[in-house]
Amino acid sequence: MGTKTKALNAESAQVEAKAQIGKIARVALPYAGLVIAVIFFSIATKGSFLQLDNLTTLINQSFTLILAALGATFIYAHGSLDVSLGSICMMSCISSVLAAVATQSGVVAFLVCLGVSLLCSLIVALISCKLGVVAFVSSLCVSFICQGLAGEMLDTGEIVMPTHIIEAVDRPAVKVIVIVAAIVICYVLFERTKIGVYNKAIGGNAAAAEQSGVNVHKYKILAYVISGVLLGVSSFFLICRISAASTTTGSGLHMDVMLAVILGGMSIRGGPKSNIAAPVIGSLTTYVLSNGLTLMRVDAYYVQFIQGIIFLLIIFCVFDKKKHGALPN
Amino acid sequence: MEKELLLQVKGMNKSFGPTRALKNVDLSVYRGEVRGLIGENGSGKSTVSSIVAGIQNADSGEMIFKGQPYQPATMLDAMQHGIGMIVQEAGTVLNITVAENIFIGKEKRFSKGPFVNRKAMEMAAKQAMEALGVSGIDPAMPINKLNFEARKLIEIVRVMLDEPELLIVDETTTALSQHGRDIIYSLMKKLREEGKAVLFISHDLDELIETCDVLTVLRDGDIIRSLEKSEMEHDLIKELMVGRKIEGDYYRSDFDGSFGEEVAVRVENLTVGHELENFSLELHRGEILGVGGLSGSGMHELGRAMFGVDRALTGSVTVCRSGDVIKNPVMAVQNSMGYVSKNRDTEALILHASIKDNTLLPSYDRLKVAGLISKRKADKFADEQIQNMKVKCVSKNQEVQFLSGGNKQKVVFAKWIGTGADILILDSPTRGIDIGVKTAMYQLITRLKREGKAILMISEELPELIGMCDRIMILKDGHLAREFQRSPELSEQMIIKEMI
Ligand SMILES: Nc1ncnc2c1ncn2[C@@H]1O[C@H](COP(=O)(O)OP(=O)(O)OP(=O)(O)O)[C@@H](O)[C@H]1O
Ligand SMILES: [Mg+2]
Repeated sequence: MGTKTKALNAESAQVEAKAQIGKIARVALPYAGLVIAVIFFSIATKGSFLQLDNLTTLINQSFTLILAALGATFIYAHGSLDVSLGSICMMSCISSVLAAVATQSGVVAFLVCLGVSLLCSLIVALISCKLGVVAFVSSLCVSFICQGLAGEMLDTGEIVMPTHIIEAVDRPAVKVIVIVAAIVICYVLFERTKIGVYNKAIGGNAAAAEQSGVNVHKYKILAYVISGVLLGVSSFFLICRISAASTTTGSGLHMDVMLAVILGGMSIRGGPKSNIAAPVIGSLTTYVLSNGLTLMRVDAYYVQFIQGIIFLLIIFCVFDKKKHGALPN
Repeated sequence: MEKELLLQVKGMNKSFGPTRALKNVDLSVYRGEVRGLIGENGSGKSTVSSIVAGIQNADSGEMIFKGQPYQPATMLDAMQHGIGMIVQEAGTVLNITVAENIFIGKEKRFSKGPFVNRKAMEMAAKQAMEALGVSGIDPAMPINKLNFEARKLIEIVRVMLDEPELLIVDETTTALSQHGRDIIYSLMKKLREEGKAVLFISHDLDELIETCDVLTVLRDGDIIRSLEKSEMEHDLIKELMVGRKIEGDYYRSDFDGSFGEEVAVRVENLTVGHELENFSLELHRGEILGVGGLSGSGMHELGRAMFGVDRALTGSVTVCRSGDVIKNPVMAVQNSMGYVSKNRDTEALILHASIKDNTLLPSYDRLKVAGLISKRKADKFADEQIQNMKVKCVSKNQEVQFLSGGNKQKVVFAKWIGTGADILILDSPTRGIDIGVKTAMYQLITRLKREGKAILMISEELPELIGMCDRIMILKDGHLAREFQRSPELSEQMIIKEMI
């Protein structure tokens, strides 16, 4: 081997190292961002960010978003853009409170919440798959229907969950158990069962997936089932935390979920690179930012402003703009 | 006559991560020359030509075109300098018409204010197509309605509009029928006579020897040697490509055209669109059944309909063991069928997914432990398939989009062999595959036959059909023109007569 070839080899090793570092950096960035944010706020608030009280608040705040985003990740994985999450959440909350008021039973309230969410998600899925409408449109329709129905169901401006149910449900210990279980189950479903791998494959290339024997409609619908269940659970805990349901409950949830998933480093176009860590990391980052900034007594408007800038920064760093942007075009 | 240098490439290097795709490549192309480029899959042919065509940049090295330093920033830039390329993969834009594809980026020619004069554009497109001998394609048709061959021809028309002085043709002919190939051959001849030049990439030795003035052999990113016409000879070329002598038979050596009694798939009165009419066949276990024809003969549609990709208007495809009538690909896969699509990048592969994920896709059920997909089993499975098919890659986690054309094809094969499909529908199976691997693939197909698998081999390559099949059905205008039995007497001429 001549010296020239050796030099070339060294050069190519360098190129490779650079590429590897770039890749690792991109994967690790969302985690790094979260850790840096936590450290920054711990120092900037002289430790009050890390106090048990505040951490509990943080878990309380991010809990519902993590659950909803975990479920939505299955839908994003196969490439659907769902805008009905917020409205379905509202519909579930209102139905749940109505049922709770009527029966005074927490179990019934929970089941109603779950059932309504599952049903609405299934309707979105069926319209998309059976009628061949893109998910954006079918979820928009369902969203409007929910809004209309909810207005009809509520005579007064809002209705309140009975306190004994709230007391039973709205506890940090319950939430920690639920969230850990949800993350583990979703991870297993996403990485170790056909539901996850097929949905990623469909997001990558639906025609190729189908020609490899994937029942595309079935697995898309299953993704909506998972999303519906998690959204139902999330809604139930939400209503037990905020206690009153109105037509604005849950509004903007689909946006929050979308941003969380992107913040976590996943493209909402889905495909083979989707991962279940993204919704968790992204949701945490969202609330660490708003919580930390609030603790620093930054004005609420500025909080949003700063959040916007940080979102932009992260999207700029994480995504290879040329090849695959974060958003569908 | 003194040869005039058109393009000179000096000391070109290109790496992709750990892959050294080009190592100090020097290449000179002269005016009035058809320059052939041959080499194993992944040897760097597409890489060097795409750098010349401005699709990507080299890491180092220089180029001189028409005596001037040349460094194209984009494909458009290269085009303006006079270098055009027909790429290996599909290069047309979906969802717009044929005419719009041909005049993409040149709509201004037909615009009045904000409006585009479609009629004028379509007229011009028709003229451009006719000038190259492409007929029977409606310029107003959306490109999605056309088959692979027609789309390739549209690409050629588009490139030729810019009157390139150097035309690069990257493994286009393997996907084309004789008609399409003839169009390209006569185009190359014309360019050569006009004192322009062609860089022609192919894995078909006969074709290269026939058409090229000089043939350059690449191996692992190195230029090994350039052969003059008189030196071009099969064994030498193969040896230069692989780096050692290749022994053994290429096709099947036996002429025993017998096969099993048991019918694996029965096709009855199948009608698909306008392409295939009332067609019936029986595919047996242990049989390699060939299907050949011209591009409009319906042979590709037959494969698609048998696997349930395209809807049949009438008739049925029945898998005899289960009695199932195939309605969609999911049913087909459940019945242990496998399909190698001609539309590799759009239908057979998930380009952004890893080699591993692609090969595993139909096989997850058998990789489970206690109901969950086992990582260990999955890794082992993928490693085995990659080794079996000798896929040239950095690791099983490499994205398929970064593989060379031939290696992508191997991944598609690996997927079906891995899952143990016993009814295989292979549409242009050896498309873009180098001779070494082709030999291995033919041996594999022969072995599958011996194991009692049923194989339907749809191919435009007559030698391949003659060399491999027990029976050959020649289709013409959607009907069976004639059926041939395996025999040493069978020749291409005999078959061509039935096709046209
Ligand atoms: N974008 C890319 N990223 C990573 N590796 C690449 C990329 N493009 C090409 N390669 C690698 O570079 C090598 C040369 O590839 P190239 O496409 O030039 O081969 P080829 O000679 O055209 O082969 P084929 O006959 O199969 O088309 C291969 O090992 C391939 O995997
Ligand atoms: Mg190539």
